[in-house]
Amino acid sequence: MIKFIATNKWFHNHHVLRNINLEISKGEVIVICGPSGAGKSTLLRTINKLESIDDGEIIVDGMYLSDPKTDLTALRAEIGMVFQHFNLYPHKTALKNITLAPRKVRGLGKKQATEKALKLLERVGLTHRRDAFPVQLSGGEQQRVAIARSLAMEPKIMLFDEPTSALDPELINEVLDVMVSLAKEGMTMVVVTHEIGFAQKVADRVVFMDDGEIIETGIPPDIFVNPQHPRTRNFMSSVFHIPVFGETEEEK
Amino acid sequence: MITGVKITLILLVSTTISSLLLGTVIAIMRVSRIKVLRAFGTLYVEIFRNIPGLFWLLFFYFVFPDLLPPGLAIKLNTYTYYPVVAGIVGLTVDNASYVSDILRSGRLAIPHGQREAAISTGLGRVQQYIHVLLPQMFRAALPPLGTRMVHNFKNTSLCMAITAPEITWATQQIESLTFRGIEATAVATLFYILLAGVMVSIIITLEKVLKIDISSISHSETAS
Amino acid sequence: MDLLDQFSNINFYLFGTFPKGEVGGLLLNIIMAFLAICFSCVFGIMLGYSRLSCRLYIKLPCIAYIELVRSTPLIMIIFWFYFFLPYLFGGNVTVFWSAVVSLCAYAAAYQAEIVRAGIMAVPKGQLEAALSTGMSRYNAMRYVILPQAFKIMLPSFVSFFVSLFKDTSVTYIIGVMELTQTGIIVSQRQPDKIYAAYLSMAIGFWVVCFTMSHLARRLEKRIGVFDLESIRPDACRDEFMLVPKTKKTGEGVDETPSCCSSDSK
Repeated sequence: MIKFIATNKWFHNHHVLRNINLEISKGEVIVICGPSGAGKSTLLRTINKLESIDDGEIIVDGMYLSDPKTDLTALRAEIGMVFQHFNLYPHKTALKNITLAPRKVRGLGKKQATEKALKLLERVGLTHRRDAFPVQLSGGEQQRVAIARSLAMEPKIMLFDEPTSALDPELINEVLDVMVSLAKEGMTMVVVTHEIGFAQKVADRVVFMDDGEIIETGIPPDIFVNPQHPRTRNFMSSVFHIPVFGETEEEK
Repeated sequence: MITGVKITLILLVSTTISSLLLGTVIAIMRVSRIKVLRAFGTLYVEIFRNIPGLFWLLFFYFVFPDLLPPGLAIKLNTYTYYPVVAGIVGLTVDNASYVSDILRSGRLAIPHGQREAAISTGLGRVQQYIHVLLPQMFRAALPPLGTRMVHNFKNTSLCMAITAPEITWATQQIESLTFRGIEATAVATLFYILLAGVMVSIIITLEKVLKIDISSISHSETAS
Repeated sequence: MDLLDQFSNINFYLFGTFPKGEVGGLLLNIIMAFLAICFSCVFGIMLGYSRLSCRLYIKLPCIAYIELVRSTPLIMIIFWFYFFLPYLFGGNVTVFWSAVVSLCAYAAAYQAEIVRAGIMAVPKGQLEAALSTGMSRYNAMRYVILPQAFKIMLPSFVSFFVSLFKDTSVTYIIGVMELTQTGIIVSQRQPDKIYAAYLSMAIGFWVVCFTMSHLARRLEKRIGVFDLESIRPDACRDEFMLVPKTKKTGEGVDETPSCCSSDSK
């Protein structure tokens, strides 16, 4: 489904992605973890080309990303993305946030789009908030609307960029629950997160990154409990020594 | 033309300074606790901002002397540089209203704690302003203030309307004497663009210097 | 009686010799400002948007135009068009149109800056969110970015309109019969009416500007329910260096964040 071949990226002199080789198959749930500044988010954002790469190739669903003829809009329509800061449109209600893209990109009628959006809102448990503006929603609610917004395009792949790290600890679970149910339905997911619990529950593979490199890849128990590489071990021990589970993100 | 440049520079420097002073006073009035001062400050801004600067120039040149006792009026009217003086006054009152507005929003942006800290260290009202509030007001207001000053510089060209011999007026003189209007206008335009560029770069440097100042302060705070 | 006599030619100030002759006075100021605003809006939005383009051959000319105009006094721009338009259109350009064109060229540069600042003040995450739901760049601009940018820009736009209206007075220099020119002519021909002339000028401009800025404040209050504050909390300042930088330009452009909006508080 997604294939990175010897991908490299520089920000000026900073080598942010070093020779990334990774293959993600359909229905797989991948969790990417690692210290801040490791290039996790950058890696994720190259998949729908919010960031371009300087070297190598990424193939997503048979489309070559470095090919200038690739229709980016069509590609992005197939890939849902959930951001750390939600990025809901502040001038539109929850419902309208969801219906906008289906109507403008897929050309759905107002009625159809609304029906679909309501179904998705029900799914994330926010039917009663349909007419609220983003400011009126809590962080967890905003993030769930954001997930519904991505799902409205019926994507084949979902990307999550630290979806819970801007949330208060008590709101994290409501978002994770939605993500878990999504994973169980067989959605292809790439998740950058520090939620070890989530990773252990649903991840098929965990990718550990540091300094722009993939250090280690494996099934969750291997990476978390029995890491091979010293850098992974270092990181994991520092993460696990922090007593409160939800507060592992000490990035900022 | 050279005198034109000189007069323009005189106008620029004097109006910049005087409008900063007047603007600061008005701004402080407008955030004052005394109702009368506040009302006066607001009235000033409402009046001067809603009437074109050109009007104030004309007013101070043509009408103002008439309002004075006749003896003084004649003195003024025969004073060679009266156009320049009227220009300075007119530009100042116009520009000061903008300056006061910018500074006022700078004042409102300062967290309440700053003043409380100043009070609790025993600073008097005037000292609070001089040492704590004003420096921060100017720092916060620097970018819009800079833009305003460039604007003010451009407005000095309006002084030609009251025959102050600045550069635009000189241009018109050259045109009517030699009919080489386009060349003269080109030179004058170039002059304005260059000087505006110089002003902008001074402002940018100032911003940078002040920013370094701020960051070094916060740095030493965290270090200690 | 004396007072009435002072203001006997009030019609001149308001609309010149309109029913019989040409339009003049305050009405002419309003017409000029209106035309200039309409034309320059279109031009300014295009200019501001192209200034944001990544392509240098689009961006550089825009920057050059904007910066040149912004560092030239309006009076100079009026002279330039006064000299040049007759060359282009063969000498029969009225001063009125020459004035409107120069105001337009002048205003467009300022509006372009407001538009640019407005667009840049919308957090970059909004564009990314829109793109990642598969919207095209045009759609993302049209439905997501511009509606938000417009709200950010509105106060600056209106305060610029007020200042543009005041700037129409400068056109008297090439002999447009607007309010200032009328006042000057009357006060020179009938020196006894000098006070009335200047009072009419002041009141004329003041009433229009004051009304406009008042309307602007009302509009801000009504429209500003969920404007900037709703964007700030998730604005990713640390990730996008552009945001704080833009904000500064934004303030620089509107230079006077709505003259007295917080008075009422």
